[in-house]
Amino acid sequence: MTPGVDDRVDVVTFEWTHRLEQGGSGLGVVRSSLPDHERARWNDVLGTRVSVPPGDREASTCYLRFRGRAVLLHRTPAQDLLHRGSTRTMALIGPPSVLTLDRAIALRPGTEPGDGDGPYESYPSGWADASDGDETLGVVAKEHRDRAITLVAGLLDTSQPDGFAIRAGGADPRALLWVASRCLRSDGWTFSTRESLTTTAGPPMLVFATGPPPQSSFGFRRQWLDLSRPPRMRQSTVQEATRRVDEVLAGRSRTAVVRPPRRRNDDRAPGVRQAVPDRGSAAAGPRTGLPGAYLVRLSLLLVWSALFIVLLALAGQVQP
Amino acid sequence: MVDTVSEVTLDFITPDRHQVAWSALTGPPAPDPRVPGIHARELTLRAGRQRILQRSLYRGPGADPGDDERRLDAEIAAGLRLARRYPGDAYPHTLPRLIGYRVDVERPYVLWQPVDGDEIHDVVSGLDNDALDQMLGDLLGTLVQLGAAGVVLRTIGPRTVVWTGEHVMIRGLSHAVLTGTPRTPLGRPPFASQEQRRGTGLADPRDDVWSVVVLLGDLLDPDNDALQERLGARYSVLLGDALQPRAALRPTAAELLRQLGRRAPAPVAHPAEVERLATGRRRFDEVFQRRDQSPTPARRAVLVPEQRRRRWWRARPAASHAAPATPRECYLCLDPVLWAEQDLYAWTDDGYQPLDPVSLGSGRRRDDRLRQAFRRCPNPSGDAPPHYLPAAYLLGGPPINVGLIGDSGVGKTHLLAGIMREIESDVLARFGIMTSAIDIAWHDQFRRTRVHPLYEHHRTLEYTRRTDEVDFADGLVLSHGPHQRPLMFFDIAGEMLSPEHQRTRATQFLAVVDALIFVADPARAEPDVTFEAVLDRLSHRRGADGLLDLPSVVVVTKSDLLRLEEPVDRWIVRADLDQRWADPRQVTAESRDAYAFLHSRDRIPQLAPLNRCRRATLHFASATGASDADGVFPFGARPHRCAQPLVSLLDMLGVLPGPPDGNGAT
Repeated sequence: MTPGVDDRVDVVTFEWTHRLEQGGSGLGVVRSSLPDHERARWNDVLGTRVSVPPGDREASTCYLRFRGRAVLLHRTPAQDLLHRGSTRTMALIGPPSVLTLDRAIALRPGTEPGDGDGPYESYPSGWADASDGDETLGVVAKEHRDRAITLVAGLLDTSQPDGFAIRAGGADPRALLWVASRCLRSDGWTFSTRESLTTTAGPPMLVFATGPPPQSSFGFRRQWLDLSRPPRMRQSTVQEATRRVDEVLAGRSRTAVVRPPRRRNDDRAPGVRQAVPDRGSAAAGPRTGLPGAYLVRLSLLLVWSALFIVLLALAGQVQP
Repeated sequence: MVDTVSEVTLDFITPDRHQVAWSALTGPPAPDPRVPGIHARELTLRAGRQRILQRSLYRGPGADPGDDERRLDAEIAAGLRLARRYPGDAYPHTLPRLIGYRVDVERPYVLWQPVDGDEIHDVVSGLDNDALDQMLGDLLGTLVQLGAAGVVLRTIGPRTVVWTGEHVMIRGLSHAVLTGTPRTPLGRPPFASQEQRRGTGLADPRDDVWSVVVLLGDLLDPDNDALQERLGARYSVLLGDALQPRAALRPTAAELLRQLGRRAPAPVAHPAEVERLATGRRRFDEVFQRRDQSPTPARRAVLVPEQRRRRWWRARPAASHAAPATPRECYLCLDPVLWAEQDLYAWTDDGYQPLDPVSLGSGRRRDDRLRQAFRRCPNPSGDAPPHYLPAAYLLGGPPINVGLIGDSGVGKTHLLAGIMREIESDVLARFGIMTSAIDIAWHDQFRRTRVHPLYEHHRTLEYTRRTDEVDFADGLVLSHGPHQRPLMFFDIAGEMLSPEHQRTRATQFLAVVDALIFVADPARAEPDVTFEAVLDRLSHRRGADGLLDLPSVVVVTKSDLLRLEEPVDRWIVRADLDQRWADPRQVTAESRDAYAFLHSRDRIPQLAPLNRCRRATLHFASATGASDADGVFPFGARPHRCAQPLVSLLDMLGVLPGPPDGNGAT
């Protein structure tokens, strides 16, 4: 039976090719089960997401959401036809109910999913076979309990609209994601297990950095979480994070209801962004939410009130 | 001596560009006494028992190929020129025939038809008048044919000319070069002219005229009355102007033959590929005739720093870090940016942090702080995320933004790495321009990720990824005396330059480019539509004559792959930057050849910059000088002629200081 438009899962392969379907050469769709009219759009949407970071030799996975569809990328470093370092990426595109966050986290970067033609009615077995179970991820997560606590505390502590860049410090990003997604409400989360261009905003929300932030003309717009450093947060937040992580690792909890990180860009066309001040601009701009500004406003209010009272008194004294 | 005979398979390319494999029996190779880096051996083909001569490059693993490889390349190029100019029976019977070659192997080699015969010196005394006439005609006729093919032998002498019993033959082309190649010192008196021995000027077919005339004089000993009688008046004719010290003053071989009352060899019909090149050259000239413009792009006057109106009550600003009064265009958002010392930032591990204006201080402290400062773009249109521009971009003279244009895989990043490598080796200092980084950390990042992997680790560079936001690739400050101008290079993924991606913010920098480097890959089979797409996008900048006032260069990159093809063979080996002022026509000659080359291969879209820009030049270049093997350059990578396009651009932009006094360029 051919799956319907909304519930079908398509598989797309991106590689560098001399002759792209839309003309010219480059990294683009070389094989796909997508309908013809969808191919160019997804090539455009995913074009900036399908490469492994420059200089990287490790495979990675990435989970994205665009216009109600979920995308799961499996990116492997490869040599292109000109013998240059490039990427071979396999992508699944389907409904979020099939391409769930759990399945995305479970997919092993080091194992290329079984090749198939698609479209599929459900999560393809070749991809399921290349995934780890909860037990495996749970065991790995226990080895990185402290980092998981720092991650969860960091996510609890702030709602960062432009996402997070995370230095995992040698821990498996998937294990950390596995714990975090069970500690916090994770609807709409998107992630990448390895990136170097971590300064840009937008999806994915959680990005694991391959190294220190490279210099860019654009300031940081993500919140940095360095999991190898003790968290500098409120003690209560850390305690709450510790409790939740321990519950998950002990197998007592699935998901607690907490304030979720704010979602953005899920339903926005790719490339359309809002200008958001970074740290530098915040430092230079008006500090409207700070205590100093509050005191100033309070003083102004008092001054205006006093003036109003004086005027009223004067008005009462002047009789026609 | 142990004489071991072994069987080898020769897998080579013929002059017709066919790949063939022959089985042959061979003895051990022996060094060529005249060219130690080249080994020669004779082989006998299994089929037909035909003898062939193999001359191969001998080099140890990891050794710098150096001069010997260039010499073998020149030998092959000369042989190919002759074989393609004189196909089949039209080939001169006095010259050895090239059978094939292979250069993309560990030991590149060339295969020649062996030359048999006695050295002319040993047999001349036994030749009768007819044979002497024959010798004279053969030698001068050979020079006419060599000259028509653009080949200079440089080694004609008593040991390199043999008598077969019926005619003379040249023993080999081991030191042959193409006409117009800068001379290198070679030969001894009396057979080599003074210019050739000293290695001055450019190789000229009349270098060989000197050698032939001296050889004839040597063979026909002037003290030998009998021989002089036999040649009579013709001999004195030969000794006339032919021995002028400067080649330019000597007669050509054809003129000498005419003076001797003999007919020069009939010119052969040009093969189709030569005719196609000739058509391309004519088209190049027609483009400029139509415009009533010289094909040599006019140099703009050297720009002085931006003119500023200075109020009388204001003190003259310091020469360094003079802040421009007019706003600059931001290359990221296109909004105007005015220098504001109160709004500076520094890059730290935590991103951009504001600099306290008071902390800038004065004097050297201030200079040092400004060197590492960034100005936040105010971006009044508010359509871009916060971004920061290096202070050096906003200080000094007007910036020069250079975009690299070409489809994915044509070699833009490799070329830029080659340009930066050439700049590192101080090529611009020859023109009086000193360089420094716009942003030291940024420049270092480019070196670590581009220049070093290619030239130190000898690896191909990675594919340039598509990104949502584009930064400059590298930037330099060009300094000439007190004048400074920032030079920014933009290198983005080729896919983003295709027509359907032109609307993205990542390509916005095109709106502020001041010059363009178009990269044309001659080996590519697929059409490249990015040149025209970019020119279309910039069409609003056309002048009244309909031409874009945007200095442009078209670089035929990967030219090493075609270094044995005409006319690439003429240019790719040249190191003639120093000749730029002495003979600016060379730039035009190279442009004409490159235009003809692309035209002959039907790369018409790649010629669009010349047709649509008022000032444009074309160049042959190679960022690596060799092919890679699975992503690695086994014998290293070296830039070839990567500086020429940049120097041409700077010249057209008016950034190059004028030629030194007395160095005739106008």
